[in-house]
Amino acid sequence: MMNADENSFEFPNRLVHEPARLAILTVLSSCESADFVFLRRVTGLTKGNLSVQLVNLEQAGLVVITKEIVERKMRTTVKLSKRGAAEIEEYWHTMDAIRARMGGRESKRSARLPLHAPARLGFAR
Amino acid sequence: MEMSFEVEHNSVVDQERLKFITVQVYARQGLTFVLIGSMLLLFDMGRIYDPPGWAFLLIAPAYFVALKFYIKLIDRLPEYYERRFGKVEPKSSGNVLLQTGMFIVFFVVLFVWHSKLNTWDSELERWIHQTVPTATGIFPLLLWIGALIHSLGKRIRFDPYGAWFCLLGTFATCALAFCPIWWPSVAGTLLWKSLSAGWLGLTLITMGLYNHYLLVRLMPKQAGDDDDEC
Repeated sequence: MMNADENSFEFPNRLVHEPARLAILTVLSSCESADFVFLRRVTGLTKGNLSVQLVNLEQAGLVVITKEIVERKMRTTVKLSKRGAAEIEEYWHTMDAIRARMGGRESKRSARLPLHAPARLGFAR
Repeated sequence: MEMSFEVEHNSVVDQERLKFITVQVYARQGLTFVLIGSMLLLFDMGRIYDPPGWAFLLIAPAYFVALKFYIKLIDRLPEYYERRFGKVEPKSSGNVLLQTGMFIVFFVVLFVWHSKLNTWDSELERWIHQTVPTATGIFPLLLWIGALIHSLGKRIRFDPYGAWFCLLGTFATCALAFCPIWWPSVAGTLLWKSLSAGWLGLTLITMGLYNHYLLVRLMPKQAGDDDDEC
């Protein structure tokens, strides 16, 4: 049975943690900017879903979206804002810390979530 | 414990995999290596097949045309990657002053120590050729060993066969260098001479093709919508 201190995990930012947004932010953290086509190819999201996620991220101030016309076609370019860069880095630090704590308590193969963990953390069991 | 997150169509948000794909697309490493490797191979083959004087009149223009063709291909490469995968801007280089300073220090060291470095380099080459007279040169071997070490790092999670591929390349490089020691007649064959001369080019072509194949394989399958742009 785990005590209160062992159960006190710092859970990651839910906005970042959502898989589609996490994939987008992870890609953007590896480059200066990426266009809509690349983000769609690399994440495998549909056009509609990607658009929605980008709007969410922009409204949260995590990305900056620029639209321009190139050779008579609209090009959408996305880059991380400073806040976005900080958030994604913080996210991976948090996940590393969670992984380290859970790995320290049990063997890596049998690590389990704390009982009160939110259902949608998405860890594979 | 493995962390996996469903994105869509059962693709996994793997930080290292996404970073690899992003870097491969903006660096265009795969096909750039193939082009540079095939250029090197072409010119190395020219050294092996020492043509008579009159043939030079035919060969020189052919080389010139081939060079122009390659330059055009290298020029078209960004367009291909953009059309196929989309456009990615690499990260800006960071502290420009620091990097400029490091370059200056590097060139000063090279200038001051160049004769000593040349001596060490010659000693190393002499030792290699004394030990393995038929060595193809150290650079392809270093490339394969470097690639093997890299493939055993975080990359192994999304590219489990990469290490085997690099091991095979390292083994092939060593086999090429050592087989004339065990079978001396091999050194006189045209095949061995060609492979030996062109091994750097072949190394780059093989690595480039593998990286490009891996990039294509790691890209998730696309769903719906023909019109890509938002």
